[in-house]
Amino acid sequence: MKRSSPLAYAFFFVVTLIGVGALFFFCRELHLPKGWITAVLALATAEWLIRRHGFESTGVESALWLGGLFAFIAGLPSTGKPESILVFAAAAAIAGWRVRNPWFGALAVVLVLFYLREKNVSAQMLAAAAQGIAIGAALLRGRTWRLASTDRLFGAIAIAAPLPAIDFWSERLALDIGGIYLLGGAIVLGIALRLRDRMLLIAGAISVVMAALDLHKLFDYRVEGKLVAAGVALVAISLLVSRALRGRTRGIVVTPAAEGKYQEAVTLAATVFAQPQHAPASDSGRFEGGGGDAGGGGATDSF
Amino acid sequence: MWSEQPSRDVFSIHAELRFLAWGGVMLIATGAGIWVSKNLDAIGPATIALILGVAAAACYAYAWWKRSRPASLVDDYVLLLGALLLSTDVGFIEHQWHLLGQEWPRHFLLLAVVHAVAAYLYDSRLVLSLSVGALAAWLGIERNVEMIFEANTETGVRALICAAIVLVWRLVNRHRAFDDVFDHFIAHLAFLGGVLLLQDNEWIGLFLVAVFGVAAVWIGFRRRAEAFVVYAWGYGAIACISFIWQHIHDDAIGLLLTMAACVVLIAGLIVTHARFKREKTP
Repeated sequence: MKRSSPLAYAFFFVVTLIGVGALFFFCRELHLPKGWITAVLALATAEWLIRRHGFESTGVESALWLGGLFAFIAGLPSTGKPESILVFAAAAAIAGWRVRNPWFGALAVVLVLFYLREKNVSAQMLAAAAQGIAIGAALLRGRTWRLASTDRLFGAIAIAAPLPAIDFWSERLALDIGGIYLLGGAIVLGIALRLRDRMLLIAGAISVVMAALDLHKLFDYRVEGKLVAAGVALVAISLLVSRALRGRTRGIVVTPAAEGKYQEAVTLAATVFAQPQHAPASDSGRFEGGGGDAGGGGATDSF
Repeated sequence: MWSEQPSRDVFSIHAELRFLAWGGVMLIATGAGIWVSKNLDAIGPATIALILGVAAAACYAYAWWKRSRPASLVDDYVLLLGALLLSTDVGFIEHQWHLLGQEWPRHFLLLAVVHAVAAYLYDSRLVLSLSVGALAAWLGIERNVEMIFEANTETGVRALICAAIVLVWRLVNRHRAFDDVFDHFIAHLAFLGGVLLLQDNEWIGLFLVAVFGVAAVWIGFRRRAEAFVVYAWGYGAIACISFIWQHIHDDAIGLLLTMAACVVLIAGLIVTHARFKREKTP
């Protein structure tokens, strides 16, 4: 049985998808039935790797299944109807079921919600459906499932379901949608703490953040003030919760656990990339310490 | 984290709270940067520089005061906030008063030195990463994706020089806890230099990526650090595919070679990865 670490999984998945894409476009160049050939070769290779070589969670077989089915659908004559999204959702669900990948199952749910959005289902209904799915998945995660992948599937759905149902880039305030997300997020967070479940903690946090991205429009303050206030609030919450839990040895604790393999590397990289970049002095434009799109020597374009 | 079944016994939320604190600090730093740019006329440059300086000093002072007291979860991030505010302040002062004139990128060098001193004083890997980032900025290596596509040989050479400087720094470094940070920066900067040279049609870039790849795999095996093995294959994949599409102008042949390259790359990492796991298992 072959399994990959997350970093190797990411490499295998991306490179395999590039390979499947190259096969699809190669067939198109030769005027061959691109969808059929790509699907047959990709699925046959995936099954051969799974059955003969014990591939499981390597990223290769997952990308072959997902890429093969998506290529097959992409190769069909398109009518441009939104129902095609449902076909992709079914493909993601089938691939997820075969390779036991919870994120493919979550992708299927996300695509169904996108379909509802395309069908002009009201934003409130969509938000309620997304949060209903997230809460349902969170509750189902409380059961003990025979397969760990089924358990992870519900965690993945709880995380992904809220993502497509809110248009938080819109300038228009949608108080009811923000409210639904806040309520849903709070319920999922409550279930997460009850079950002591990290995936659900992330799911609840995502809904709360999305609600905040909508509800901040309620306050008519400058964006920098809101950012600083949100930052101070996050630091304060972190500090207060850690103080409240200090000394506990059972239940929810703040004892430092061994850091994840890539946790520190990710934090360092994110810090380097997210830090403010500065202006060249020779340019007369405004200083943009909040992050211009240039930062090194000789960079002059955004100031 | 993703594969664990829910636990009902002891459940530590330490990592989650640290992430919250980190996110909060990054939001504050971003908000401060925007505040500076928007309030220049209303408040005045001298006052802004002073406020940022005082805020940064307060963060450093808090972190210093906390050194002799029980550590709390946010200590590292208060120090990080101080370093970020200092970066903003120095950048603002240079932009406003042109103290270094045409040599303005030298303020990055100043920041690299100051952050390095703070990193050693406070034993902070986060601040060390800011220092190396400032060093790279001084050498003209920007932190954005467009850099890859607008690359030229000069930027590639600068990345290689930066990797060499960090390598020398790592060799003279006596604080072992920082070695990992240096190693990852060296690997990324060196590979990036090779890829940038290749993007500008310099064949030596492909050769350099291959050499660095062999070195990274060797280091990965020697130190049981899988990340270096994956870096080698990851940057190797970017270099291979970039090389194919630069030199093959027939789409069908380019696609065929891309498929072949993907198969070779996947097989290569499978073999290396399997051997790595075998050697790692006692």
